[in-house]
Amino acid sequence: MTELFSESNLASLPEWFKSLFQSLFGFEMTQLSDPATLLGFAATFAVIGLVLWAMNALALFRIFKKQDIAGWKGFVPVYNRIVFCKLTLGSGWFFLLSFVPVANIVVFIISMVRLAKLCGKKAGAAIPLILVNPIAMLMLAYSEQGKKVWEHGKTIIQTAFFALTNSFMVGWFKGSIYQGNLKYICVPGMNCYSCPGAWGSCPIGSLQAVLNGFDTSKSWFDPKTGTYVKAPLYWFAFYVVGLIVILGGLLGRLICGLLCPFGWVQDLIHKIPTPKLKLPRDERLIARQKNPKLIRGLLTADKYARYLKYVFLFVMVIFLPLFVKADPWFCKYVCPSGLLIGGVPLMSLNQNLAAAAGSLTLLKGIILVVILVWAIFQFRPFCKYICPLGAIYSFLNPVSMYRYGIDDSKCHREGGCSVCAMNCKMGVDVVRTPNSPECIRCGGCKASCPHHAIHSGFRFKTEEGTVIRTGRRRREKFPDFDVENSDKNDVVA
Amino acid sequence: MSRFLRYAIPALLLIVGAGFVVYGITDGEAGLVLKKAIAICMECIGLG
Repeated sequence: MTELFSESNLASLPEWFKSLFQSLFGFEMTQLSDPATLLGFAATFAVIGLVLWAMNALALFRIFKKQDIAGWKGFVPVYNRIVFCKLTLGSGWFFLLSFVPVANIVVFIISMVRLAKLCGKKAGAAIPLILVNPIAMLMLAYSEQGKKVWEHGKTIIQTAFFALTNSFMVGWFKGSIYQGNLKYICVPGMNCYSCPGAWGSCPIGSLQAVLNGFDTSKSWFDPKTGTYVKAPLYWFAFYVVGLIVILGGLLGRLICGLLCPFGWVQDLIHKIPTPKLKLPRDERLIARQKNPKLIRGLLTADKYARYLKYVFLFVMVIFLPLFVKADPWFCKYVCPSGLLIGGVPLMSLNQNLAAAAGSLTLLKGIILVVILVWAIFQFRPFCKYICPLGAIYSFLNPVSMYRYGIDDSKCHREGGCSVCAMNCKMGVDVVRTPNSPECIRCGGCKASCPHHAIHSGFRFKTEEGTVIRTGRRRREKFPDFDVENSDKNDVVA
Repeated sequence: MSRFLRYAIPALLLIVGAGFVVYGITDGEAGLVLKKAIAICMECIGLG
């Protein structure tokens, strides 16, 4: 099999095809004659195919159940498409048009518009369904069905996105990394570009890489201080900031909630059943605690500690790499994601790298373990206090296209309900600030609201005369709070 | 926030972002990102 890819056999292939292959996959076609590379190459397509099939099947399972159709039909290949066509277009025979070029695109678009309407959305909701179908289908299928269902949906989306963006199996098989041109593009979350399977670049690593560049003709060695004075090559990382602004402007911190691999890891670890650090945010609840002073002190500490992520951003990601020393300071001394999804797999697959482990590995290992253990007891400590990427997205969160909105006519806050605020694991009062910089759009509040007063999306479908508020609401005096009837077991800091 | 600003601000952000990306590519920043990303980042994985 591997002889198929010998140079003589590949000689007949056009040059443009070979160079396209190399730029896309990062290695020459002749390297497929190596069994490990060939196996990894085949496994890449298998993993991508399997993940896409699973995403589609799980979404259809939930959509069919919503529409009173047996959920198992979503898992049967081909048959699920027939049932889906019957549901959205009225007849299963439309499935045959999937094999007709152009007509299949038209049928796909119409079926997505019909699906959006079936699920009670505006036709415009079909746009994400068309453009990022697998993820948008899952979001549509698992939302508005209660907290537990949404938690499952969220985990599926996070897992699938991590699997897709880290599915370069050649790297996983050989202990190397992807070297193709897709690495021009940054992935949305904290995904180290030294992860063996990563197809894209880490935005924070890339930001530092650009700011680290220095102009050798203008840099000079200062004998008085014994330091090398560097003249930055770029004073501003237009390319990386542009990519982050586009992603953040579209989705805000939805990226943190659903698409960040290190956020996913913290979420999984937080599922370990242990007592969780709970800080009641409602003044009436605080007053009923044994030690209200301590709770208030912890809340104040939490409030100010959240500014730390901006310090990490401006000092370790921007100032130090730009002015002090050409090092990726944050990646080198803090980032636990790099060690977890880059360092650990690479060192376990590559003995030469493992032999180079030293004091820096130990330092980053300690940081990683502390954050992971912390994440068992508190929800997403890294995202709350450390993540510089979260800090950038938090600036964009209040103005991003994807928003949260409150239907004040349905909200029972004035009647004493605070279920959403109690269920927010990031400590945000969504009724007061639906688009708070701290909100990671995890959907916990929306899924737990018993009155369906919380909306999310690019546009909101409302009944005539209903106003969905996306801005802040002034702190008002709430009537006495009905603690007994609230889901207080889920209150966390 | 008015309905106009609700859509105008993110639209402006997308335009500015796209402009930054185009400028960054012409200025050679994208090449620098690729150069860094295709080599194993020893600092990132904790090897210095």
